[in-house]
Amino acid sequence: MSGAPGLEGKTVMIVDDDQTMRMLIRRMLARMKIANLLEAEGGEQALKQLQGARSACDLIISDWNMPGMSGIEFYNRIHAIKPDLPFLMLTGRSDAGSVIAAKKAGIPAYIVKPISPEELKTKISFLLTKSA
Amino acid sequence: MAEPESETRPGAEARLLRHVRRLGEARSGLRALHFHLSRLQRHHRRDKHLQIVANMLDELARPFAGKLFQLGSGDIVVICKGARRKTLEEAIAIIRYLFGDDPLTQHDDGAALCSLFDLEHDYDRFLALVEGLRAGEARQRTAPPARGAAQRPQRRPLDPEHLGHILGIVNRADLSSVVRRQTIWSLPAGAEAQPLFDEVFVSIEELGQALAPEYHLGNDRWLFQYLTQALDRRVLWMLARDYPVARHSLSLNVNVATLLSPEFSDFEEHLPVRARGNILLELQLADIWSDFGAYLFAENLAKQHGYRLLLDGVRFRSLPYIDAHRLGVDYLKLVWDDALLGLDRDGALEFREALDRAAPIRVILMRCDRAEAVQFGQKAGISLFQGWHTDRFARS
Repeated sequence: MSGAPGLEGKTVMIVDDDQTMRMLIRRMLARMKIANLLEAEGGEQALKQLQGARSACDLIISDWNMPGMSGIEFYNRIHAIKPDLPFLMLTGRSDAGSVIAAKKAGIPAYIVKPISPEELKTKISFLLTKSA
Repeated sequence: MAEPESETRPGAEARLLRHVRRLGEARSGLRALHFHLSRLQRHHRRDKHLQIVANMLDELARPFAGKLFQLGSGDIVVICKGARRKTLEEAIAIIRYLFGDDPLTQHDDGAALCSLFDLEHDYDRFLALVEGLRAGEARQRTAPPARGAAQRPQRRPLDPEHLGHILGIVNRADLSSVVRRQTIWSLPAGAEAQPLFDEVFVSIEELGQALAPEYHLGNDRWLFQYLTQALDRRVLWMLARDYPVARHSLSLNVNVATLLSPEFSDFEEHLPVRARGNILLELQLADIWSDFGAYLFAENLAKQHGYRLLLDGVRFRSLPYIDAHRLGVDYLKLVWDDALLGLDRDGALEFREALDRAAPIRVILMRCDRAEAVQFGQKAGISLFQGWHTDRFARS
C-alpha cells in the first residue's frame, strides 16, 4: 500500500494490551509510510508516555477492552488534556449499545475488528484532515 | 426463463415488494428506512460491515416490530410501526457514525446514507421505489455475471517465501482477533430455535487482509493446505491453554495431518477429559481423500478419544456419491446452493434420496444467508442450520 498523502511524518500512538494487534497495526501503518510510532499496553502507560514525549502525537489508535483503564476511560482522560487530539477507537464490539456509548462519549471515529488496511487508512486520513 | 423462476425463488426484493403491497390501507404509524449501503466506498461494503449494520438495525428496530430486508445490492430496508421520527433519526445517526469517514455520510445530515419514509403520507413514493428495486434486482439476476469480479483489485499469487513469512507471524501471534464463532442451530419447522454447537474458525479472509492484503492466499491448493494446517495447530494451542467455558459444544476445523500431530496430543493433554465429548472435529472431503489410510487411522483415534466427527463442505451435487457411513462421521455439512431451488422433479428426488441414505448421520445446511434456504431445508427434512440468516432468525 502506498503512503496516503499527508500521513508521512505523522506520529501515531497505538494503545492495545494485545501485542499481536499492535504488531498488525504497526505493519499497516508502515505501509502507509507512518514510521513515527508510540506504543502502550494500556491507558495509564499511554498517558505517561504522552506526558514525557518529546514530539507531539498526531493521532491515537486505542483498543476498548483493556485491563485496568478501558478505552472509553482513556479517551475521557486524554480528551480532558488534549481535546483536539484525533482518537480512533478500535474494538471488537459491534452491538448497537457499544456504538451508542462510543458516540455519546464523543469518540471521533470507531472501527470494528477485524480491520482492513484500506479501512484503517481512510479512518486515519479522515481524522487527520478533520483536525488540520 | 429467469422471470418465471423468480416467482418461485423470490429474493429479498420480491419479499419486500410483497410486504409493502400487503400493507394496503393499514399504514398508520408505519415508517420505512432505506439505507443506501451500496453507495458506500468499497472497503465499507465488506460482509463484516453489512452484517454489523443489519444486526444493529435488527436490534434497534425490534421494539417497533421492525421488519428488515437485506437486499442483494447490500442496501437494507427496515419497516417499523410506532417508532417516532426522532428515534429513527437517532438510529440513522448511529449508522452514520460507523461510516463517519465515508464521503456518503459527510453531507446533507446523512440523507445520502438513508432515506426515511412516513408511509401514511409517502406510501406511493415508497411503493414506486420498492418496485424499482425489485425490477433492478431482476435485471441484475439475468445480466451476465462476473462484472464485479473484474473490478476486484488483482492480488498476487501466494508464493512459498511469503507463506513462510506469514507462518512466522501466525506461529508467534495471538490469533484471537481473527478467530470467529458461529452457532449451528437446531431449527425444526414450527419449533423454537436451539443452539447445538459453535464452530470455532479462523477467518482466512480477515487474516489475509491483516497479514498479506496484496496476496491471494487460496490460489495454490497445497500452500493453502499448509497454511490451514498451521492455523489448525495454532488454534488448538490457544484453545488448549484457554479452553472456553462453553454453553454448548464446540466444533473445530482440522486437517487429518493435524489430528496425528504432536500439537493435537498437546491439545489433548491440556484439555479437561470431559470436554472431549463436547468437541466435534470438522474435516474436509478433499483432505480425507488425499490420504485415506491416514484418515482411517485418525478417525479411529478420534472416536476412541471421545470426539465426534463432521464432514464439512459437501456440495449437493456430490451428496449422492458420498458414502458418509463408511467415513464414520456423525454429522455432514451440506453447502446451501441457490440451484437447489431450481431442481426439476428428478433432481429433487435424487437429492431427497441422498439425504435419506445419509440418515442417521445428521445433516447441517450451511451458509444459510437467506430465509429460502432454511425453508427449503425444513421441507426436505433438515433441522440443523448454520448461516447469517439462521443466526438472525434464531436470535430474534
